[in-house]
Amino acid sequence: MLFDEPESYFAPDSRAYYQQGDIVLAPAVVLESGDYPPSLVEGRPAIGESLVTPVWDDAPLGAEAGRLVTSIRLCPVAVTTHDCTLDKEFSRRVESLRNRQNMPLESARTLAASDLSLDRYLNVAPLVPYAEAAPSTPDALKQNKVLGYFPVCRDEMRGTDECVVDLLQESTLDRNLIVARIGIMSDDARAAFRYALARFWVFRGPKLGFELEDAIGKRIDDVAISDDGTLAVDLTLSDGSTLRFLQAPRVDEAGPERPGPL
Amino acid sequence: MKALIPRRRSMSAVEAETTFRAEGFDDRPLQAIFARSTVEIEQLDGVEAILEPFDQVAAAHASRFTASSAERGKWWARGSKRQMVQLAPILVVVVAMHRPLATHDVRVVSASHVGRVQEAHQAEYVEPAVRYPVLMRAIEKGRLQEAGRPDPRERELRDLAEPELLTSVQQVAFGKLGDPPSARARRPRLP
Repeated sequence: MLFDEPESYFAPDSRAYYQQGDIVLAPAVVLESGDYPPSLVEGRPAIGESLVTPVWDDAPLGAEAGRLVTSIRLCPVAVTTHDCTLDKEFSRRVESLRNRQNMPLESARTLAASDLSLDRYLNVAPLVPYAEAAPSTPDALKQNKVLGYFPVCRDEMRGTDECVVDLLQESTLDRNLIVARIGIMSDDARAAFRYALARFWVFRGPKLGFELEDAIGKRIDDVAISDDGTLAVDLTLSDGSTLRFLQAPRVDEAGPERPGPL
Repeated sequence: MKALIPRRRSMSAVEAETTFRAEGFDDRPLQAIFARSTVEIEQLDGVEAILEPFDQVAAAHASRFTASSAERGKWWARGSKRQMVQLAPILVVVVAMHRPLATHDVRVVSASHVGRVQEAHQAEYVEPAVRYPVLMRAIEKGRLQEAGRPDPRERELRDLAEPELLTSVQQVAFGKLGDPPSARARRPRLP
């Protein structure tokens, strides 16, 4: 299985540039409110340890947001930024050098690559142990069934623990702060990772579009209304497949509501 | 946690080692510490203690220390920078400072420090012990230095074209039908 086998999950080591899905060792940050004591850590925090630093005691403009602290930790993180964005400024610089200065491609690439200011920032999400993804079960996490997390394969050789990428804790990082590259995801793992990103950031059910595209051009052979208690309409298509339409739940059926901000 | 705090008592390094062994704990880490000729003995709070920079070999022992002691359930370890291993009722605290690339300090202090160190540590406690054991082992083996960083010259020229527009069907699916029904609770609108 993809998430169990390092040979399937990881691509061979490479000196190629960073790409989406890379596991790297780098700092990740979370902004928090609260009365945390200043960290006693001196100098750089150790791997996995949070360095908690107060930023301000009183929120600006008299707001009641409270005290702001940063919680930074050096830990394995996954690069979530798409490859095109990782090379966006670089590619434009190469094109510019070629078009305006008539520079050969390789010279333009080398020159653009030497400019560390290009594509300086990327997004990363930290890897956290299963226990920190509670109440989800390790089995569900490991099978990539939990929204907001993506499983990472344990690999002694590369140094990856059995963790999940916690997409909720994504932060923006200067790539010059990356300490080391730990692993590169295989094409299959990257595809699954992108699906997890789409599912988390945009759609709960991204496959819905694909199901509808598949249905185009097919004849509807039968229509049935579900009698299992849900309001659903099942369309049986000419190839034997079924397309199910569900009614969106009413607001008062959607479960308990949280109270609004105080 | 309070129950795990050993009684306060002064103890020399040699006494600590003797007691440690008498209790049947894995003594390899302490052997690694005590056998070193470069050990510096310092006087901390009126008790004898050892304070030394710790190398990678000793750090590996510290990891083993953690594992073997965990099985016995007689100690606890927290944190990663200050990984404090407290052996109850033995009066030894090992403070392992894991630097990002496998340089370590280990400090063995005696009982009179335990309570104070623990209090300080609890105040700053953020993370559980050794969150990434596999990663730490890889670092100790030098694996990450080998992996290194990618060569910036190996950057690829990516397509600068705009992302493909959603097909009309996808627009219908995502724009009108939306996501599948969810049982998730919904927040009320802001006033």
